[in-house]
Amino acid sequence: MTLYSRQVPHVMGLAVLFCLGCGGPSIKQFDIQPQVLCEGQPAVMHWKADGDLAMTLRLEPPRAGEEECAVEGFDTYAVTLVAHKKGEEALKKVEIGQLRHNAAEPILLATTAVVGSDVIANGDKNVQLWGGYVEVATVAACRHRSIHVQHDNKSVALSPDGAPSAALAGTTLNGSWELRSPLTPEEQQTPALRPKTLQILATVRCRGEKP
Amino acid sequence: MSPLPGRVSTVVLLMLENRSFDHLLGHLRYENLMPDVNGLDTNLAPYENVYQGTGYRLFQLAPGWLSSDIPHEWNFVETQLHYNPVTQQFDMNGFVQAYADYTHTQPLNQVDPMGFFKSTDVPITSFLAQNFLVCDSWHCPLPASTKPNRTMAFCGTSEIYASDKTLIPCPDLIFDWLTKSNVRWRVYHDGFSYFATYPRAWPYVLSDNFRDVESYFHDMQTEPLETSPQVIIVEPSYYDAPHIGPDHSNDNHPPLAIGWGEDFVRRIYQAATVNPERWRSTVMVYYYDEHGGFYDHVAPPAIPYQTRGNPSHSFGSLGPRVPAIVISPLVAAKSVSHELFDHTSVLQFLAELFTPGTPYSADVNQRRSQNIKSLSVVLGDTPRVDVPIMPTTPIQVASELGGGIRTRPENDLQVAFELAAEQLMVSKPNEMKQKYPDLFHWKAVVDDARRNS
Repeated sequence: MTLYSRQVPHVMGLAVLFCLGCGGPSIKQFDIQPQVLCEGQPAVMHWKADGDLAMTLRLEPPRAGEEECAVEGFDTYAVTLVAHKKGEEALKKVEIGQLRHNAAEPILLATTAVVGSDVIANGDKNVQLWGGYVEVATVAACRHRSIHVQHDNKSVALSPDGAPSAALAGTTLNGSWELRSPLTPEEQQTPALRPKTLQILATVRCRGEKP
Repeated sequence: MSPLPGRVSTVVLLMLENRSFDHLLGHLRYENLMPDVNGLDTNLAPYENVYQGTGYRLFQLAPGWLSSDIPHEWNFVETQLHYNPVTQQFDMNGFVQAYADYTHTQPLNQVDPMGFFKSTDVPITSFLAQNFLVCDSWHCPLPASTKPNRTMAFCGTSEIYASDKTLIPCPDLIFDWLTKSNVRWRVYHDGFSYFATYPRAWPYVLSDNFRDVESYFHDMQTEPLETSPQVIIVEPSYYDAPHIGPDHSNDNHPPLAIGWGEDFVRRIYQAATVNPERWRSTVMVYYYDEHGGFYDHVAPPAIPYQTRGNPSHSFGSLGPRVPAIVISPLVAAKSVSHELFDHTSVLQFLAELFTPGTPYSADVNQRRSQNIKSLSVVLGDTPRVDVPIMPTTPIQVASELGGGIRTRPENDLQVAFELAAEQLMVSKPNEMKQKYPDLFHWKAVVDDARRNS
């Protein structure tokens, strides 16, 4: 088996846990844990693959975000495992992200219900991506909407001007979120005008990191 | 407007695989090449898909191989369309969710179904769009995968709703209708024909009506209009079909690189235009069977359909939009039609052309009553005299030699293709040796590979 990678950033340690590789060209498993890394945090790769293996690491273009609620301080790398044998090729890509100091990460959720005159969006911030070591510093409303936020047994009302609030500071970013926003009279009357998503912006820090 | 039969002598149907409208042609608006086309706006924010608290944007996809197929079976399409109870409509917000469910990956940024091509990555398709007529409201008939949608296209109805391992029932194939209607027809196939997965089509598949695509150009150049086929179906080399040797899959089915398909389309256009007399009255339709799991921003209209088999399945809408270009002297350059079409629009058109006053079938007529238009509505009266010259720029594409020699089929459609090939080789060995000699080579190689695996 041949394994190589290019220009692994010094802030990420990539350690091989185990590899089962013999016979045909296939990749049965390839994952990296955790996928979102704080500075200096190691990641562990697992794979089960058959064939001659190669690995590439590519910095992806910055994640796009809404202008007033842009993603900041977050770099994404595509790690691709390639298996070759007898002229055939199999590949599998895993993306990993690295948080810089004072990063900003949106929480974007699909709307799910209308209760009274409010629209509600709820769901999880991916617990498989966002480890418990990433904490919320502040939250702010996006898209000029008033948004009432519930998360980790805390709640806060955010004003439509996007002013940040520290009411949820110290909670983990991952896990369940509920966003609630009042509908305008036009939105109440016409379902097609209602928002299909609600969004807030969280500034985040890694646990132990100084504000 | 003069009668259709006086304007159209030859219909060429070229159906490729598994790409959505925005994925392949959204760039026409994005790059301001055809701003009237309902493609992608330069502000990509409204198309963002949500998955587990994160937004995923559209991005410019590199034209190479993808890491895997993209989910497009009916249950995944249901996730992709995502009916939102708040807006009470499909919000096309589940493409990343379906991909994560299918691949068991956790994407962070760039997710294959959210990728789209710019004009430089699909130069042939973009050239044809800009020189002929784009249909920007052409949906696949069902929010489902290849087999049900191709069956709707070529049977006008469907007993099936999924692409399972079985061969496909179809009581009335397009070839039955063409033959009954005394229409001369021919299929040019690059490799094993998809129609072999319909047992009813086997006598046709092994007949002289099915020819290798290598003879297409010469036939178009030399056959007199009076005796040449009036309806021509051109088939690519299917990614899911068994094949061997220098034959490259070129049907654009993911994870294929797009370049092989682009080059194939270029060859078919060159052949369609080689004979000026025939070209003057030719209508070529270049379209895709279904969206293949790629994002499209237009919610499909709520036109219900219940499949006829047992068990049956009720669909509440058409499928997502697919790329569709009408290539003919009877359409203007850089033109666009916003009329609602699906694959049965072609069957309506064939009936208007060859059996005026008699509908193609009751099922197809039902689609017409549901506001799905005939393709004839886009055709003008007077043919253009120019023949746009196809770009001859080389298309770079990474090749994968031997990729067709699979140790085992990777999906149910491949199982069905192999089943058709093997049954035909056993039941009609002499005809198959004449028509598909390469399949015997393929069979020997895969049998050997499977014994040793």
